[in-house]
Amino acid sequence: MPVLAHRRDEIERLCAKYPSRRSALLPLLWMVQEQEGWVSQDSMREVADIIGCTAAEVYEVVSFYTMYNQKPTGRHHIQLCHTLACAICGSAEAGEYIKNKYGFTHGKSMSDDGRFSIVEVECIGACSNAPAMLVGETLYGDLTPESIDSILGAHA
Amino acid sequence: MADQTVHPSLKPGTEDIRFFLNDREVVGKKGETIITVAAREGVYIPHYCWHPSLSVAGNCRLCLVEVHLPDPRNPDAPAKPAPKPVIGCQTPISNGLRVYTESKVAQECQQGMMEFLLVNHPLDCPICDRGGECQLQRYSMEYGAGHTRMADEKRKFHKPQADPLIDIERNRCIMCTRCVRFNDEVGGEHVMGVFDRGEGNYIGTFGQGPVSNILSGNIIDICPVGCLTSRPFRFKARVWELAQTQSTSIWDASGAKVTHWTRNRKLMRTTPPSRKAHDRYTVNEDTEEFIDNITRFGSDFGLHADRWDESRIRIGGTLIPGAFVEAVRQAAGSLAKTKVNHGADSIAVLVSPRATMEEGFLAAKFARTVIGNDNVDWRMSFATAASADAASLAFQHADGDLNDGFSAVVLVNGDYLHQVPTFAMRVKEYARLNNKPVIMIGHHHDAYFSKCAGRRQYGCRPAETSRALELLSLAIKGDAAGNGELAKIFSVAESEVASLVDLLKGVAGKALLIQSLEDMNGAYLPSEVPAALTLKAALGATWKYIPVLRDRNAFGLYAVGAQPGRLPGSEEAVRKAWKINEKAQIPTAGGQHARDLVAAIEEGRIKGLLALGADVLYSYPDQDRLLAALEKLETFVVSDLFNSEITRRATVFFAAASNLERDGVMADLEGNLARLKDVDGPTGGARPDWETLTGIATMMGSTAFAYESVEDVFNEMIRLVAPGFRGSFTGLELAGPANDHSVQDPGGARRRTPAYNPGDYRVDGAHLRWSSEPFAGAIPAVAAEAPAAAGQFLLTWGEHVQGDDYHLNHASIAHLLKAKPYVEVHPADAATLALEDGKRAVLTVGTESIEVTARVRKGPAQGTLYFPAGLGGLKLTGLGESLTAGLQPALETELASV
Ligand code: SF4
Ligand code: SF4
Ligand code: FES
Ligand code: FES
Repeated sequence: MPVLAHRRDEIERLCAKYPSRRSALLPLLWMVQEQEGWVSQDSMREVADIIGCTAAEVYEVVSFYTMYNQKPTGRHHIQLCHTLACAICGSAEAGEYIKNKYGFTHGKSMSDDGRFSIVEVECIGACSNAPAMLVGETLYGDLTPESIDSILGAHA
Repeated sequence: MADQTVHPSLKPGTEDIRFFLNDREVVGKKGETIITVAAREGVYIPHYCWHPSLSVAGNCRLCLVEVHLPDPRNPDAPAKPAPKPVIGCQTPISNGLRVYTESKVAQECQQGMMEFLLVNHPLDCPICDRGGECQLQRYSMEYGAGHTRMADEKRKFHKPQADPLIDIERNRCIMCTRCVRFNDEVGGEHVMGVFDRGEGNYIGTFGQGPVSNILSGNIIDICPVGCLTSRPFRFKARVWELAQTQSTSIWDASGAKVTHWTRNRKLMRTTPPSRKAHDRYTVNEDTEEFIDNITRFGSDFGLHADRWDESRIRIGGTLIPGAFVEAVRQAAGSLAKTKVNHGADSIAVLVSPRATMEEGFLAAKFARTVIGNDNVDWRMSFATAASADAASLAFQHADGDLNDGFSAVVLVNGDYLHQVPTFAMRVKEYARLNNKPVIMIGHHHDAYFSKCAGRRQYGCRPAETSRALELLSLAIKGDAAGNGELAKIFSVAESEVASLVDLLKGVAGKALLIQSLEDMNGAYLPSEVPAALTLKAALGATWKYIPVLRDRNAFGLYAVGAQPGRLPGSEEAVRKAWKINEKAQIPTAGGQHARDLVAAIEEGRIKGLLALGADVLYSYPDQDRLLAALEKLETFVVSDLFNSEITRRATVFFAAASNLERDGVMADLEGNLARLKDVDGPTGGARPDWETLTGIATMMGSTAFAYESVEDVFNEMIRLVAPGFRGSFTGLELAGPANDHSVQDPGGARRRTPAYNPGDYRVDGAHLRWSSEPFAGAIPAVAAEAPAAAGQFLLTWGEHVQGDDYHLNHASIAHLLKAKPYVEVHPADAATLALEDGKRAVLTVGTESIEVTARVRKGPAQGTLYFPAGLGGLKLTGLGESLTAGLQPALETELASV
């Protein structure tokens, strides 16, 4: 299933910015991820065709950057920081709380209703408000069980 | 990526650079790297990621060397140690540089890097298939510390398997990326990659797909560790128990050299030639003599259960096993009887295109002296007699040799990678690494060459190819009147034609015109060959010509006169060698053409047939018709390996010696000779064909077949075929464990010449050539193309080495080696059909249909389809007529998504 077929003009404008089409690889993968929430194998093939390389080359890039999700994400994708400052201030407990609340386990990172998915990430630059997380693109700090309830409750 | 990465060691300048290698002054060329010059000078620098055929990756760091740099302001001052060691594989040499490859610093670096590489390595050589020929194991002994400080748990990977032929064991990988670069640069497609990062780094294919190209097996050899191993060979044997025989491929007309590894005469595996390192012969990780997968995995057909290794004689309705002498007597008797009853012309001799030159020579001599006719041929697979004759015309003018390099190459038609794999590879690699223009002209282009930066493609309709070549030669001679027509044929602007003409005229130095003779339509070759030769004549003497045919020894059989109308040498010399007296005629006219043989049998003109190899009969497209014809023969003597539909119809069957049991020489496309070497004589009651023929001829009263060995045959033959030959039969053998004359290979250091695959084994004079006058004949007209019905495409086809093949069908893993049927479609046609690359489609020819994979590429001309014949069982039995075909996207059978 091509996912970028309706965005051909945009893609051509993007490719035109670079001396070689291959340079458009990262932004194209972002386009896919913004639209679909993740980058599937089919869309890697599609991107490969657009820029004229093999799917293996695209996968080399996708698997290098952890920011590209290789699994489907929920409607709201939670990125919980577990680096030093957050770890000291209780990111593990916050993570535990979220996991219990939505039934995430090792190997299951999406809630059954497809509302939330979670991934642990390295420092997201909000150490002063540790522990911190991103829901979609919004940053939330100073997490407590209560604030987590109200933040996530506001995401339908 | 890869089309820009040119191997630095291949782009040396001309300026001399003087520097010091372990305190010895040496000279290199500007731009060369330390490791290449060191290798040439016999100084071995350990390396994993560096490979002479691949771009420089510089990631294993094993080639670290200590360097001292001269002070540019004060050249007399002693050179100062550089602050850090440098990698020898990437660092270019410079004047006054002092390189130390064995100093304390260098040794510490080597030890340190070995320790890093072994940190996560399993260290279980006893249960590793690579043990005994592993570069990691070897370097551990030579450069490692001998102990480990790693106390923690090692990283472990899952082991998902992707390829049926190549096993991946990621825990052993040292991430040198040789395999990735090989597929990308030599194999032609970036199918393997380095995935994930950091400690999680691993190599693999996208979506666990197979490493699907015909050269992929080579990554097994060039992988320095036990990560990539051969699945058919895994755990079957330890390499030190195996005997090695240096021989040549019987599949690949490029003349690839091989080593057969055997245990108790049984073939265990086939690799490129082994090399001598540390006093023994081992697999060569730095080999540049890559082989194709058919040669590598398919050479064991002689072990098939259907092998008949005793001669058989028909008594009543059945073939009864009998002694060789008995069979000889029987064969001689029946042939003599047929000759008496129906005349000499009623007997024909056929030779397999995989026969050695000696066998072809004897067959020709047998027909011309014992039978007394010109009915000897090997060319049964051609579409028409006229196209086979066109091929012979091409051979007559063949004078090119890839080993000499080229400054430009013109390819006329052809699916080279799938017909002559390593030849295609050598052309592509030379062009790619040296940045030479590749000009493709004709109705079918090989997409394999698309990675060459200097490639130009001029497509045209099949019926227009010869006209295009003709117009091009006129334009080169200065007659631009046809440029408009040419532009129309190629569907390009006239200025583009002018630039092509300028390009061709401007080529300085040796250049190559390569033409594919694999035109199964048969309608075009008779005019395309003269047209190509006319172009060659117009281009001038610096242009050499190589005609390309899949048949392994086609050129050799042509040379020895194993076809109507040709003698192996001048009539006078032949008369002397064959002891034919002055008055007797040597028959050289009116020979029965193999292509028309079936018709001749049907009409009762041919009553007796002697076939050396049933494969030549199997190459006839209409097998039902052939088998029916064989029934009509009075005498059918066949020498072959197997119990098959064809051999079951024999009156006398001779058990032939297989590719591993016979000895002789074969010529490759360029006329270079290579020795096919037996491992240890034939099995059971099998006999090599030279013995069989000698026996029958002698029994039939000839005294001119007094050979004691195949070497006797060779000597008689080579004196006629190549009077200038100064070598010897044994001299044509490759150096190997059994026959170590010459190899000087100090631990892997390799001579490197500008040619990609230097003719290391070329023996002076062992090179077949006919000095030819420039071609000045006429170009026969091509029949106009019949307009195809709506929705129909003109079908063009050629053979495919992974297709239906008598020998390949008997290989132990034939099912894994055969290619799935596919059809090449031009992008414009694919768009109208709404077909995407890789999608399933249905190809319909006449009443037959077959499901194929569509490959969308600018291979075939618009409006035509290219189908590799012999794939998937669709028999194209049309002999020389042009065929049209329909193509439809296959209905998607949606699987319920779970
Ligand atoms: S890859 Fe080499 S070093 Fe590693 S276990 Fe196998 S034989 Fe031993
Ligand atoms: S599999 Fe072998 S060739 Fe490929 S990167 Fe690993 S060690 Fe190198
Ligand atoms: S450590 Fe968590 S935001 Fe920096
Ligand atoms: S050989 Fe030089 S870094 Fe690997």
